Amino acid sequence: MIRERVPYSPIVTRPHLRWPNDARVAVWVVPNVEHYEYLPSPIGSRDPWPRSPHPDVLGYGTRDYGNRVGLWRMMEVTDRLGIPCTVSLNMANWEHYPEIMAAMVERDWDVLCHGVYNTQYHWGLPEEEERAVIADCVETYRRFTGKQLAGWFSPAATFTHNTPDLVAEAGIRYYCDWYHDDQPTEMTVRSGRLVTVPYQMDVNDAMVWRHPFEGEEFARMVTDHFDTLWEEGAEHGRVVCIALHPYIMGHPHRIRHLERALRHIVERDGVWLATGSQIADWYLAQSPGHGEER
Amino acid sequence: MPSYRAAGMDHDLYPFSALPDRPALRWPGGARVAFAVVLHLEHWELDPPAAAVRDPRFRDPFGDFRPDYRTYTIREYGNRVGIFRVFDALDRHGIRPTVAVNLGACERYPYLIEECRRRGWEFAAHGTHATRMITARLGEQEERALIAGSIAAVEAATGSRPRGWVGQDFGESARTPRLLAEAGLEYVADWPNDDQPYRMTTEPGIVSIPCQAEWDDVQLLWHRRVFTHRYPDLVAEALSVLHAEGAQSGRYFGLGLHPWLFGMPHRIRYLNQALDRIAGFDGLWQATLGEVAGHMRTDGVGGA
Repeated sequence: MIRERVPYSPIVTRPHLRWPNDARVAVWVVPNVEHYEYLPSPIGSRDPWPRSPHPDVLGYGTRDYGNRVGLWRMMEVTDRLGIPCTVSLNMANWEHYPEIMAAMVERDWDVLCHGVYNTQYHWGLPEEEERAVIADCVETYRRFTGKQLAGWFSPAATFTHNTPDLVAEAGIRYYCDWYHDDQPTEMTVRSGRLVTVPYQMDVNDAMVWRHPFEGEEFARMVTDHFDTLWEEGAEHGRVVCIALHPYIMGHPHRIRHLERALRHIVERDGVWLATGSQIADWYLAQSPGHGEER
Repeated sequence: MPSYRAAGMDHDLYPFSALPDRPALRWPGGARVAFAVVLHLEHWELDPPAAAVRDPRFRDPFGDFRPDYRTYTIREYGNRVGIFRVFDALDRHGIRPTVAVNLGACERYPYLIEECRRRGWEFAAHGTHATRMITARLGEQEERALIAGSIAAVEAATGSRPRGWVGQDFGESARTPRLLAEAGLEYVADWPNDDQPYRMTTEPGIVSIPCQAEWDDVQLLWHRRVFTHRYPDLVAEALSVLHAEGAQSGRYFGLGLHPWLFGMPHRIRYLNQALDRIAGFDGLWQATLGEVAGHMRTDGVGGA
């Protein structure tokens, strides 16, 4: 097992990271488009619906709302603001929801793989099983798009010590389970190259929603987060990630708070509205590679 | 991989339906939004049977101890005191709620049943006790009997047969919609997955009326602990967006109310404020759940 995935590097000592057109920040907006199983097969590490013996209509239906209703309201907002989204996607959705996939393809949204189902957790998976799930995701994406999967964010943020090696081995270029930096960083992996792209588990509507906070507070977090990084971006280029769930911010009492926060971002100058792949590829092209760096 | 990894849902209770792909839903009188209030009239047992399942989120934070005087008496307060504040708020705003009443409440609170009945309010079946969720742990015959008993209790206490079902804590087994339909009910209000009612695939058919749990009082104010003074803004904002969308295709807007919660002195003013704000919207059809379901079964073309 590789213990030192990312050598320590204080951000203040790094050379300036330049974004295209000298933007201060690369902003990527990441709706999580997921499927939570009605009757999940027992998986061991965690019960997705601990409220009652399965099914749990409240838990399941709350997530199902995102795909039936919330996503479409959210798409109206991102369309209106011209935001290219990167979808954190459970890959079984290619099979379950052709209507959603067509709407994403039509908008040329980027895909960040989020496992197969959000109720199948990777904690404790033996290496061969995890490799097989990752291969399934790569195969599914290729079957539906003809393309190689670019990014990985483990389903329900559940992972193993092997995950970075296995996704790099599968040809995936960027990785979103690590929250250690405001810039992409290269990871040490057994083979190939893998770059982390900053995702958010804090500026994330699903984390906020577990607490007594509503759309207004989340919007405030988004604009405060952006403003700080934008100011710092004059010295060190930064990544702004806004992590969303259509089943939360797609509700009617929250959607206009989301629109206001995103409008605050798109109306500022010095902003590169990017996708996860674009950020990763730009960084990989600028950076000599981990081996040479040391 | 599971065999259900194919187009559509991972169950056969309803088909997938993306909101923008549906035919327009038209409400009576060209209303933009059907507005309903579900008032919960429930008995919480002091000593539930050992096998009963209750929503674990109501447990004492330090464990599941019995007897639970705390929850029992808070619920009793709702029916002794709080509910009269809620009655006043509804009367003042001329609202006809649908009263979700369980078997225990039919037996224990005939006074309250009569207060609702004389106002001409509609009743929905709501299980037997607030301490007994329907879950997959029930056998089919037990579940069928629970449903039949709940319906019979409402009919005996109110003089009319309920048209639909509101599940205790949204509790269902995988067979619940079918058993409700077979019991002759027209709607079930357990699913938080839409802003329009829709037909489920049961035989005979049953309409799912959204429970909109995101602003249900217990979910929002009790479990998530959002301050009640936020409630008027939150629900008025939801209605405002649904009302705007309703110009194209009708939307549903429902409030779930519990007397033990909204009937508290520090909360009741915010219910009144919310109802004041709602009264400011035109184009609302203030309906009962039975009326909404009846419309969906006969006239409403949308809602998939």
